Amino acid sequence: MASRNPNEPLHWQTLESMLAPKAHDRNTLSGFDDEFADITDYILKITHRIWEQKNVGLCYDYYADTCPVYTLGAYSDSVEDVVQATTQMMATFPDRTLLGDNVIWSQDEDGTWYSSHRLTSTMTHAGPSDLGPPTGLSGWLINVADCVCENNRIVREWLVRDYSFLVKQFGIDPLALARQRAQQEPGDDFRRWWQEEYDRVSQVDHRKPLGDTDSILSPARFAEHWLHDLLNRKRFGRVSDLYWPNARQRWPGGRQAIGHRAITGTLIQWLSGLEQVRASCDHIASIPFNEHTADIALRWTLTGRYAAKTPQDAHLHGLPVMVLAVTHLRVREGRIEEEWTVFDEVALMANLYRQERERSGHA
Amino acid sequence: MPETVADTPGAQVFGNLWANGDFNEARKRLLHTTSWVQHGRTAFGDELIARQWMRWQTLAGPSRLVETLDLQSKDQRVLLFTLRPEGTDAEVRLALWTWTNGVHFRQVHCLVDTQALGRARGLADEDLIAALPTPDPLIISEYDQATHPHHVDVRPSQLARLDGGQGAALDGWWQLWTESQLANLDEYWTADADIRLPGTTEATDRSGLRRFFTQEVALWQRRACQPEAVIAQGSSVGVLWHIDCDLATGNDGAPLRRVRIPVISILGIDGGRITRETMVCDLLAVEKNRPQ
Repeated sequence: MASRNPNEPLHWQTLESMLAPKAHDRNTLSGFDDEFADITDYILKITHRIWEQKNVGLCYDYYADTCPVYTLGAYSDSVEDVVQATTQMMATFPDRTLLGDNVIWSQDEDGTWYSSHRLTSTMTHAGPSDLGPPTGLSGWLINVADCVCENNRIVREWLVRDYSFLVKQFGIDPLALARQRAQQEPGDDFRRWWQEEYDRVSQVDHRKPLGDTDSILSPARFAEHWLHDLLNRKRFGRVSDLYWPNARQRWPGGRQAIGHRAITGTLIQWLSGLEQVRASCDHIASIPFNEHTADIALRWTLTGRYAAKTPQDAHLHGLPVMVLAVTHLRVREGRIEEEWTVFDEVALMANLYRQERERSGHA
Repeated sequence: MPETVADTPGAQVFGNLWANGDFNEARKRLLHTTSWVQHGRTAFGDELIARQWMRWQTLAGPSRLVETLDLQSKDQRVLLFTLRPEGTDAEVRLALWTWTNGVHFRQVHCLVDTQALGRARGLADEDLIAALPTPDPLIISEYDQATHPHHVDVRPSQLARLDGGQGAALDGWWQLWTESQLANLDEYWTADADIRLPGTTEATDRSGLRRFFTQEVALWQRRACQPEAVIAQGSSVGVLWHIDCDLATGNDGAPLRRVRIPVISILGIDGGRITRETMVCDLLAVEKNRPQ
């Protein structure tokens, strides 16, 4: 398999070295243009060309004409939608810069390539949009694009971003924005996808232990335990097994936890807002970071029912919730050193408000 | 006085950044993905990181670099700068905790002792707070650390290889912060320990540390301390840590606000006792995040 030199993780590379040609391994990247050394190179270069060099039209070259793009706020499957959304984003945030933090990839059984690209996006809120008049404030967020690639094109994509963290920096209340977005009709395709996913994930057997007896787990198995033990089985005592005592965890909206008890607190508090939780592990990829450390990308979906905590949100109680999330884990010698979990809280709440509105007959 | 005085390139580069405003040399040591956290605000990219550097230049004015202390581990490095703003006799400290490959700095946590800077420059706290950037959104989880058994706690001595005397002294130091163990002051600090505390421009001794603890830190309720990283080099130990605590909002009957206070502490430990301690934190940046 084509692989990067594990002694040179993306983490330490300059932009120049990141975009420079690397040794080719053409045997494994068949169907792609010769200029791409490996799947990481492909992802980094096309992202740079589309976003940093503003060649939005290259989406026509690098996306399949029919490419399902799943987000928690919308569904699209046309390259025209990708071009339009990208152009709109550039107009709202003209200086938006995408800093590639990591590309974690796998080649899957069907021969396609899967990449989980974590980026930090920095931007100034300089153009009009549904966020309201431009504030001129700068902000940043983490987003992850999980893509299936074949024959030089992205053929399927799951996109998650920490939108609540971003809009807070512009002085915008994420819940007010969610209520506003709930007024928009997401379309039949989105509703169908949302329901199918909700039904699928609700079937997960959340109580059954995974049953490993080995103390040393493969990266994939480790990731499954992380999801199942913590989110499905709520075995929060496992935090001390799964994380280093000074591990760093970042969750949406500005949740930053360091160490076992803060991480445990974050998980308990977030999960306490949901009932009947079921979490499904949908894709895992891993690559080495260095000799003792692996980077793991885990895409997961979670369903449940909203559990209201205050009189102000009591009207949402019991409504179905779905979360589309990606988690990147940096695992050193069997324990997590750093975690980035990303999902869109604004879209999550907008979906809830929309359901509430439709339930109460104000559709 | 610190025994590890730096003359290494990285220390010079950042020393020149603060004292002389040499932005370009500092830029060369950053990657395009470098994050720079200062005053609780994370900046990425040339423009926004330089804005953070300029903030120091604006507030401090021309400064003379008095002293640099540099501790390094395999992939981390802590740099402590003592600067004297022009026209004052006061010393202001600024500390960088960095993640580096020896060539570039990928992450930098920069703590400026803004309270001491204000005192040195004769600036009111309110004016300085107004000049600081809005901090990143932060949600701090609760864990009920007040009553929960402490089996999950980690001590800084567990995060680095230390000799026996260093480990015991570091644990004694940690007990002050986590358990309010004031009696440790006599046991683990030497009588003539040279102590530099946040918000002050002069050195103090262990009685000054005791006063700081009982009069200021004691107001930080439901304290939860978490070590993040430790670097030990020679007789010096650097600790990156934070305190999550409740602060009163200033209005009678108003709810307490949970805040996070990032801290960089540099200790000199000889013969199992602390001979010097420098504590740097940006208390006005914390204050900025605290509604009145």
